[in-house]
Amino acid sequence: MEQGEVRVWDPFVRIFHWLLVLLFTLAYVTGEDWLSLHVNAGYAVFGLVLMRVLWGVVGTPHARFSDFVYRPSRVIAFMKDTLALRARRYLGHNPAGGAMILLMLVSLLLVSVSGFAVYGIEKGAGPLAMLAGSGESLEKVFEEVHEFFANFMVLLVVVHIAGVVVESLIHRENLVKAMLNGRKRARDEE
Amino acid sequence: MNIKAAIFSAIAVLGTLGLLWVGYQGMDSQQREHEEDEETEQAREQPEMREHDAVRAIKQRGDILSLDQILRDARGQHTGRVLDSELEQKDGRYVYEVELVDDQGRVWEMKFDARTGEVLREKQGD
Repeated sequence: MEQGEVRVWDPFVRIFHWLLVLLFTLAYVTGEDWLSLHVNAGYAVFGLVLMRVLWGVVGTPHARFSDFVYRPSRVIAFMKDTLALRARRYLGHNPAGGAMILLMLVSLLLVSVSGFAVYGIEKGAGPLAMLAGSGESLEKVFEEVHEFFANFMVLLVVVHIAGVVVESLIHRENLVKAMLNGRKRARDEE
Repeated sequence: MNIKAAIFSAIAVLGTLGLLWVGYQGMDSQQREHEEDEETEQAREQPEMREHDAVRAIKQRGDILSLDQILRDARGQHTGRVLDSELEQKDGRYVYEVELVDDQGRVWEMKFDARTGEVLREKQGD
């Protein structure tokens, strides 16, 4: 560890982050054509999200919801500061990053559960196999939800990456590297 | 390293690898289906060859209409070319899932009741 650096992201947070990148990309490109791989990537995403939610309660300090969930007014104020390029530096997730995590976790849950529902209705398989034969119209609804939130996730990813780039530039630090090795500069130089 | 983080990380990695492995294995059977699709594509020039042997056997029992019969009606609404077709058994009834592209280049996903030819679903794909 270099001098003046502290451990911020624990191994699970980092592994979760990059596994999710891999699995979401895989699920997105496989789609209906490679259904077996698509469905299993979806199970893995669902499992990871549940683990992350649990980790948000029992995990290391900066991994906890209590550390990164802020009031909406704080989130909006932070985003305004960011646009003015004078956002404060946070060692953990900043308020906008925290809001992004919540949005992504909820979207991923909706994508995976609606996917299970489509799979259950269409193939009579998976955790929601009991929905088999619920009819075409219900299947259509779940399909729309599944597609909408999958594409909404892509939008969130784009905004997330833009946010990481901007915050990295404002505070002259490499946030991507921090998500890889878990370390960040301890204090902001004055 | 924090023992809790180590346990969570191990479960995450092993669980993901396990699921992907199982998913990859499951693709073998789907791959076979794709090969069968290709066979039917080659046979598309000769309509009587379009369906796979198993499908033909069911058809000969008189349980289902042929896809050609159904498509003649469907083409009335969407003249175009069949991209892909599949016969599936669903809740004890046979359903044709057909993908076709119309003259405007739009892709339609259609489902037909194989017994009656009734359109179960009609959706414009991407």
